[in-house]
Amino acid sequence: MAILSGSEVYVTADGGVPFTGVQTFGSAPMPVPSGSAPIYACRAWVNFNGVGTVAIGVSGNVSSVTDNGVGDYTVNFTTAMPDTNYSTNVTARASLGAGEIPTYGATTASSVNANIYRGDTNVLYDPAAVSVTIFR
Amino acid sequence: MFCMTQQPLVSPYLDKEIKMSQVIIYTQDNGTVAIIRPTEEALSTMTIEQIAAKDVPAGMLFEIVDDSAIPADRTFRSAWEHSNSTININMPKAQDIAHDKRRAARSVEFAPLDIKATIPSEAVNAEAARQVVRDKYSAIQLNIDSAINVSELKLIVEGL
Repeated sequence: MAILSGSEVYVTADGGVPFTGVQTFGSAPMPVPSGSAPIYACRAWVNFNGVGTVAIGVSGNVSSVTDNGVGDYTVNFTTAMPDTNYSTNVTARASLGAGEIPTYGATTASSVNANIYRGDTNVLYDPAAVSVTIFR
Repeated sequence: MFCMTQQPLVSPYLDKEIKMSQVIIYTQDNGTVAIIRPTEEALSTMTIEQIAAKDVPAGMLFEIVDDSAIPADRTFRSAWEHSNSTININMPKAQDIAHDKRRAARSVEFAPLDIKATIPSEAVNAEAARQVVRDKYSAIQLNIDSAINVSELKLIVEGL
């Protein structure tokens, strides 16, 4: 059951009593968080490998990944964000042992550009794996 | 008269594998080919043509090709170009990439000698060692410039 309070929605157990303890969604347990800080869910996510042929592992709200060149990718959203003011997190798993600098570049409501640089030379390179998550 | 149409015997799993093995390619403004790989989740609700219509930048001509058309070796990735559903390696661009790798390798060898060259007691030996490095990479520079195909160029790069 959902209770509307101003612009916020409180999900409660049947009868309007707020959930307590661990709830189960499908087969996944979801503990009720402590404190009153709001929860903002991930709006899009993907992980893919960057070595050899780019291959996408799993994703949520991502329609495709564009391989623009060495260490240069565009993540395209299935459903666009409301604007470009979202938070982008890019991480990478090193493939050369040189460390890496994951960054993001151009953002639009429908896509974000992710770049991975070598930590030692600051040159674009293909890491073993890249993860991108979007919060809004 | 009654006519019955036979449904094609295509497994949904096979269809999914075929979809996953296709990619969208187009030429970027810098001349290099871009490869759009659809996600499995998107292919469960959209066709690859619909994904192309959505994710290829406006005004770009694109092709849908089999994954096997994409080279597995990314050594000269920034030199990839495409025409008629085929990806080729632009040799002058590949040579530029090889020269970048040569310069990077040379810098790594120069770095410790550059420090020694500032120490008076080691300066003479350091300069001699630097000359050896210069000669080595000058020869490599000539080899890159005179390489006649990508395979030859790749051997040179792998030796750096």
